[in-house]
Amino acid sequence: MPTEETVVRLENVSKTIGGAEIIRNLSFSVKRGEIYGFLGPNGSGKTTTIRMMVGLISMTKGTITIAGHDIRKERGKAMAHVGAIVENPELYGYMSGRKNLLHFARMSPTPVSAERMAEVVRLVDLEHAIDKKVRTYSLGMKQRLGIAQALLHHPSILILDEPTNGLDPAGIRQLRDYLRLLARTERLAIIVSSHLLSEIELMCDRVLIIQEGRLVDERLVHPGGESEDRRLPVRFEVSDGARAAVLLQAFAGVLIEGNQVTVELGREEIPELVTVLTEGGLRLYQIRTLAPSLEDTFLELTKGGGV
Amino acid sequence: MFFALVRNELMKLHSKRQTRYFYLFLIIVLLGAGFVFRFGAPETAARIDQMDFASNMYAGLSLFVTVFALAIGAQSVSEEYRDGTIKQLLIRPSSRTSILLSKFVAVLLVLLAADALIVAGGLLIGTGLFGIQADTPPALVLIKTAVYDLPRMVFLTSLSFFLGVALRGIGLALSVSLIAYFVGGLVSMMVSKYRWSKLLIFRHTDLAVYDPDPLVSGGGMPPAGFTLGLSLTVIAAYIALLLGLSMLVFAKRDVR
Ligand SMILES: Nc1ncnc2c1ncn2[C@@H]1O[C@H](COP(=O)(O)OP(=O)(O)O)[C@@H](O)[C@H]1O
Ligand SMILES: [Mg+2]
Repeated sequence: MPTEETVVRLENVSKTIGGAEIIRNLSFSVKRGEIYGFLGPNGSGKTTTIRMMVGLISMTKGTITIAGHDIRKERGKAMAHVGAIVENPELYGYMSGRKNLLHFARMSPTPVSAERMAEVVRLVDLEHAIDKKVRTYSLGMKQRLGIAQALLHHPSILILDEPTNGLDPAGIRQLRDYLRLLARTERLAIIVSSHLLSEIELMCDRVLIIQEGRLVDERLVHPGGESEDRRLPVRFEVSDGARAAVLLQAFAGVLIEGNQVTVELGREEIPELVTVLTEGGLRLYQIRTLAPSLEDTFLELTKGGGV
Repeated sequence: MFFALVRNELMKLHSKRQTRYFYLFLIIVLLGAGFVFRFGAPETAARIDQMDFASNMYAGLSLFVTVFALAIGAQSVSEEYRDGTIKQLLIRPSSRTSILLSKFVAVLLVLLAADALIVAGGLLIGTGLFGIQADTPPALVLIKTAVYDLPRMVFLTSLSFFLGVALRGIGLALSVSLIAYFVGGLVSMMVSKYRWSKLLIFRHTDLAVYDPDPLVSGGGMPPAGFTLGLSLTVIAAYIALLLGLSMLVFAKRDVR
């Protein structure tokens, strides 16, 4: 459901390279202020999707819209809203950090002020090294400079492909804090890809799981109040399964095996059903939602996928 | 916007040691040769003047300038691919065409700067060390010679630039354009008896022959039916074709 808050939208995007369909009918959208995880085993198509989003490679089918601009029809306008690091933070090693930033600032259609430049340098904590040649930077520093160049022009969407690769735990933690801060303070939409579930869980609000170029699942990482409309199978252990069958005649999608009753329910329907069962004289021993956890889903697919 | 792109390319070119060292190399050779002749071989020095020195330096160094232009032309795009920076460059609002064109313009500006350096440097150092005599030809003769050489240099640079874009590697692009540079004249002599050879670029690259001043043309004569206008048109067409092809290849290609 796209709204004006939607910054990026992919609709039925496919990519075929040399006869192989690498991305298959992928659709998703990302909102302002949200950190969106793009999770999948190696070779599942994360980088390919990101390359299509930033216009490095063409798409075979589908539409990608960034800030309301179709990237095929209004590439320049769409790209003005994007800041990205695709795979590694590749920068000009023979120039200083400052010159690298100047280089990318000059490519922005809206002028980047000297204050903005100083601000992003401060944000990524590179003030002490900004005049040194990038060749001498550590990977973490390059990563931060990469983020700085991606943020210079006040993008609406920041896209980071496996940003934690090669970072030590402290660096990962720092990155996570930056991203949270950016999403909250600048109302930036952020897409982070990773093949590691743990990272996505720590960093993201919402996650898309991709395998072999196909969307496998999309969900909130920390389901809370927002997931009310999601219907999930709920299993009740009752004292009398046969009686439950009679009581639940009015409900659709009821499965009864012995004293185990499984019903597809929205969150608000659970207490309702509990009332029906208890008022019908049944005793309840256990209630459990059967939605697989993020971890279950991811493990299952990485096992089958042969990482 | 385009101006900003060219400034970026110039900044990158001049941040590399190779470019700065190349300017330095030219200056050192000019000064070094001047001082060696002036003080190492006084008898020779007495016989030569500003123009002898400057045109000899130009003849030798313009070879280096051409090779250098071919090298940075071949490198300009292929190096961005090698280092992966091409991605950072292409995910910006600027179109691929304007990015490519800005690179070409920057390479040409360096070519012009280096060429101006060897002409002006030769004349200045020549004047300082050897002086101007009554029979010294005007500096304009050397300047004209250098200007007549430029279209060929620009053509060769565009060839090397195109090959760098198409092959995404420096080695092959540079070798092929160097071969074109060295055998071009020979090929044009071999095929000059055929009528179609009128469309061959190498029959048009020696523009000095059109100059009325024998000091500039070296007594050479243009082939029958050839005019300066025709030669310039042919060279321009070749450059336009190579640039067009570069853009076509560059704009369409998936960047992985
Ligand atoms: N240029 C290419 N030609 C052929 N196959 C490719 C190319 N680039 C990527 N692929 C394939 O596409 C799939 C997805 O790759 P990629 O997007 O890099 O995955 P991820 O980033 O999720 O690890 C892989 O199976 C890979 O082998
Ligand atoms: Mg990848």
